[in-house]
Amino acid sequence: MIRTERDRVLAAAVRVIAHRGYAAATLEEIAAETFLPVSEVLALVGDKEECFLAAFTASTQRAYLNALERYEGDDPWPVRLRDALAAFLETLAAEPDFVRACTLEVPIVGERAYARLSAAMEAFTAFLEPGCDARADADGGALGAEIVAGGVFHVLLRYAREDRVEDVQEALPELTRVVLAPFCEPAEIEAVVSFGGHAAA
Amino acid sequence: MSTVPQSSTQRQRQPHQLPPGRHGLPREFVLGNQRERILAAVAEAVADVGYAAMTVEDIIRVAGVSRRTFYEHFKSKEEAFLVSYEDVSAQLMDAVVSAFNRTDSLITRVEDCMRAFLTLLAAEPAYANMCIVEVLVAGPNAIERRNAVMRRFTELIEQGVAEELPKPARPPALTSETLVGGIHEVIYSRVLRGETAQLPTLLPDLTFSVLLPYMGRDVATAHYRKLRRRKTPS
Repeated sequence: MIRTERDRVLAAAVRVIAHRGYAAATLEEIAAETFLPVSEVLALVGDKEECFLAAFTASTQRAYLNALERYEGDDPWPVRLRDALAAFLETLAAEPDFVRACTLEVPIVGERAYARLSAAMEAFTAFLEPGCDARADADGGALGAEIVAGGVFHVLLRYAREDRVEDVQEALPELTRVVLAPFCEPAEIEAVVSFGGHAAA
Repeated sequence: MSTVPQSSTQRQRQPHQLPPGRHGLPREFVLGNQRERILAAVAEAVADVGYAAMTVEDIIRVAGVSRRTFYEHFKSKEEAFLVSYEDVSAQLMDAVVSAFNRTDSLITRVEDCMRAFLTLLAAEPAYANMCIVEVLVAGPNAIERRNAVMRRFTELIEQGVAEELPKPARPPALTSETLVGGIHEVIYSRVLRGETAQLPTLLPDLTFSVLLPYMGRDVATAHYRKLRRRKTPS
């Protein structure tokens, strides 16, 4: 929900950048979407890059908190992870402009945007920590969490390129299998995918 | 190749540059030489300054060609970049496909293809930077070519899996897509951090991650240990 003028600016930035591309978008266009003068946008957030970075941070925080809310609880970790992933995809499906802007445009924006993306992917890997810890002494899994996070990002990129972000939740069963594969045995993964992700009996 | 006597006032010619004026070389040789120098210079120039800041002036300075010569071969820096990217990525793909076709074993294919890819990138940091990092900021045409290369890697994995595993045992196609995407992000972050030379050290872990969903944990772990015991490829 948009609460403040700053929120309106960030939402406008996401819309404009998603539809025009970062390079072509201007601060004037972002300001026009909000019916605020450019000077006000500059005072509330900053220039075009600052608008992008602030919108990126706000939206990824929202997705992260939604995932965290569904992650907490007493279910076994693989089920909680599946629930967090489901919440994450629900949030993204409801914000297609954000996904388009914050996946496709990150390389164009540059280093600071990539740093935010890296931080977001690292935050996502925190959900994988129990799985990583359980396999800490095992050989071969050192890059598992990083590959999973990067792989999920690339799937989101494809949905953004295909302009089908609203459909991303269809990938939940397969993404659940992929995300759990480095940490769980196949039978356990299938039980989680079939289970539905809520409190066990 | 004939040489033209140089006066002290003449700019010193680099070894790869053709002699100025009439030199009697076949035109095709001259054009080929110039084109190859420009394409190689693109990778070097983009490594120095980044694609966005790179100019035709940067390219011709590294290539040792004139602006007129550049525009005889390419319309713009974008076109030169795209052709250079396609040349280099074709070489990378050829090496990976050659490794793939040398054996029928999925385990050996994964190891050999991964080794070929990592070794080539590590040997040519400027090309690694161009193909992994800068391609993403070189415009939609460049990104489309990059996406096509990634799809090709995904198809290779799928082909190897189809030839190794019966259909009911195969994970869904999203597995290969996330593996290729995830491995790309790992390599991207290392190249960005200037760790291109260390890419071959990732061979055991990356091979493990690819084998795990298809061959199971026991096989992936055994192969990981075998790779760790071997010397790191130079």
